[in-house]
Amino acid sequence: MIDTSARFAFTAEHEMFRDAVRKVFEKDLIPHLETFETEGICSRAFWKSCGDAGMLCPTIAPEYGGLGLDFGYNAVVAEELGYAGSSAGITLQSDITAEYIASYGSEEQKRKYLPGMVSGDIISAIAMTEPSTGSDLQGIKATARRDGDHYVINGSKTYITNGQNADVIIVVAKTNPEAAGKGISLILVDADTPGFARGRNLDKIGQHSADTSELFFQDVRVPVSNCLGTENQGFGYLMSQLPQERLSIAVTAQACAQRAFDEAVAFTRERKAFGQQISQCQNTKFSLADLKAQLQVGWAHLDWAITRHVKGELTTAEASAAKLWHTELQGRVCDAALQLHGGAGYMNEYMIARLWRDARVTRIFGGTSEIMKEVISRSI
Amino acid sequence: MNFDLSDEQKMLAEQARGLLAERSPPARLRQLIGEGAELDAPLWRELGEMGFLGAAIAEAHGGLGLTALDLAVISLELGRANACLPFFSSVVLAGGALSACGSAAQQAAWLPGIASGEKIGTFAYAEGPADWRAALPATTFAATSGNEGRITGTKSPVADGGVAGFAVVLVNAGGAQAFALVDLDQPEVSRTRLDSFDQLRGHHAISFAGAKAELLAGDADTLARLLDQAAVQAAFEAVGGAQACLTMAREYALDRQIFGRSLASYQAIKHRLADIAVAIELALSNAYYAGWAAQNAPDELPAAAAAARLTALAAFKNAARENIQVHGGIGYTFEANCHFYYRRERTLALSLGGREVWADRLIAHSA
Ligand SMILES: Cc1cc2nc3c(=O)[nH]c(=O)nc-3n(C[C@H](O)[C@H](O)[C@H](O)COP(=O)(O)OP(=O)(O)OC[C@H]3O[C@@H](n4cnc5c(N)ncnc54)[C@H](O)[C@@H]3O)c2cc1C
Repeated sequence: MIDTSARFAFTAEHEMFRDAVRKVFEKDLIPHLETFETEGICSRAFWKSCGDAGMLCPTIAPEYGGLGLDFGYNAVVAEELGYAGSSAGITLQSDITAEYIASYGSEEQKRKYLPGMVSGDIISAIAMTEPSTGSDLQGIKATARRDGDHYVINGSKTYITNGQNADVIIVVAKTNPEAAGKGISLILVDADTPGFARGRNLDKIGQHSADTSELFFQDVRVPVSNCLGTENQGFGYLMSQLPQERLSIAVTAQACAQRAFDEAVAFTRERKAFGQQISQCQNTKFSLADLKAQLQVGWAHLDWAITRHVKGELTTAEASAAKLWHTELQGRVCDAALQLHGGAGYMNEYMIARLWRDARVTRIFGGTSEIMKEVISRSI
Repeated sequence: MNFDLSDEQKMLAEQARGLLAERSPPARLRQLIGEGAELDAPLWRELGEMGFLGAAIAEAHGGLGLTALDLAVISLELGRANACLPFFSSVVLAGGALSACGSAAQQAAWLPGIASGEKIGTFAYAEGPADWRAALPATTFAATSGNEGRITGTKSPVADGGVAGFAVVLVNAGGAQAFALVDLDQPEVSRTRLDSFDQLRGHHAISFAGAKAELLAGDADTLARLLDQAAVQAAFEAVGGAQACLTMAREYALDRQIFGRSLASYQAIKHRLADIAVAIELALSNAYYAGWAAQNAPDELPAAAAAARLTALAAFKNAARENIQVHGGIGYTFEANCHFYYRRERTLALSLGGREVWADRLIAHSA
């Protein structure tokens, strides 16, 4: 269990909420973790029980079915989900897609989607990445051509989280293919629109319970009223949502790292070699001490970042630094914790194996470590 | 391919190691630092008499005509001893430049002196913080007649610039990189000793105010080759230094009692020493290969030299730092010998271009 006694980003209400989240996960997530992993997707029933418990999109205003809380509640869910060792895509909905609709959506769009996203009846995705471009978003090729009062969307997207489950997709497409960044718009596409097709649920190294998919758009017609915010302003919207998206990944990364550490502590206490518990070997003690020191720094920093973000002060550079640091930490901790497991660490039946393989992607998605450094360096 | 040293090379190494251990122990180094010396003159003479300084110089010029790998054996032992000698500046760089692109007359005039130790040369390339490798030097050569002319400008820092009698200076001669041979004992040359971190290798700023000079036949390609060859020797010097650090750390750890046991019995210390040893082995293999390539496979030299330099300096850096750490508080003091190597490692790592320069060169020359 994550020890929150010394945390400073949260209030007593957050902690009550955390207890509730733990209970829901205990009942509706932990028993199904293996099934979700083998099936490559989380059940809609799980989404529904998260919605029923008020754990989806906690920041959404009550008029749209939400609780109108602060991002600290999102962080609580992200921490508990990461610590449970799940790669379910609920944080993407709570921290990213709902935020886009709430910030830039029309009244009609908000009424149509938000209540269902809060209740778990609607699952969403955001499709930026394409086979030929990821980091360089200005280079996307998908187009949304204006035809009367409709857009006609063509293109393909890949690595899209919640791709199989999604009922609605925020598609990043060029409404003005001549202009690089200034010709990009965000368009809502319902999954039952003709011309939209889901591709493979991709086979990945880890995060097996996340339905990361290919998506195809062939002459998909949607009314222009499906444009999120102003046409051609999409790139600016993407940039302004980045801090929260990156912080969200940082939060999960730190919690996963803590779980990996806790697994290593438990394992090395049990295991014996050369006539003693391996936790008594100096190398084990030093490895764990080193990780513990890094985790301590990590939690302090995370609380600082969450607190700043709740106050609306976290900058893009700071959020990028947080994503960079916490995901790199996660990589280091999971690797060292696996090493301390010896051969068992390589066996999928041990939790550490999953934590380790799931960790690898956090340095890549949501902007790679290299791109984080680019962004940070621009602030120097 | 067998990259082990030949029996002759092993003998050469043993001879050099024995002599240096006897003549240049830490007490002697401290004495030289106390005197502000930049050269252990008696030892230098002795090395000359024994043929070490002329190892790679042609027999016609008073040397032994041996190979780059033979020279490397000596470089390694000098690195181990951390001796206060301008071997790298005079023998490897100045001697290397003369052997590579000196005219018959220039070679006859300078190489025998380098081999005997009576003449000390250095290689003056840097001009403060600018990137001397890419840009044309600010120091200019103006021809007077034939290959003779006058040079103007300031080189800094110049290693062993205080004890050198002549320098091979990297200059701009009519818009191209060139080497000028300059006698430093002339009124148009002035030198200022710099306060440098490595107390056993003096560095100077040398100013030339229309000093007499003559060009060597070298160009930018010669420079690149010379630097590659020097990098191989520096790699061996670094490996020698790293080996000395490992020996020191091991001996100290075996000797020191902590919490009722030998320090060396702790897993954390054993693992540290093992990491140092692994890095040294890797570096030594790369250095052997580069030493072999320098002699036998010039096409492979650029990549081999860069790999040797990078791994050797990484090994030395790690060994020099960990040696201090294993020693604990005493390692941080002047009384302990750790700092000699820590300082030398920094000197080697920054001369001839930093890590990035060599990493770029390795990438550029990797298939
Ligand atoms: C499990 C998973 C889930 C994902 N979910 C989503 C999702 O829901 N929605 C979505 O839109 N995308 C998603 N992605 C895509 C992800 O965001 C991209 O993979 C990521 O941004 C990197 O883009 P890329 O794969 O095209 O790599 P590239 O951009 O091709 O980069 C390749 C390499 O080059 C480096 N590089 C690129 N540019 C530079 C530079 N300027 N300087 C130095 N190095 C550079 C990168 O760091 C990387 O190492 C997901 C990916 C995965 C694996």
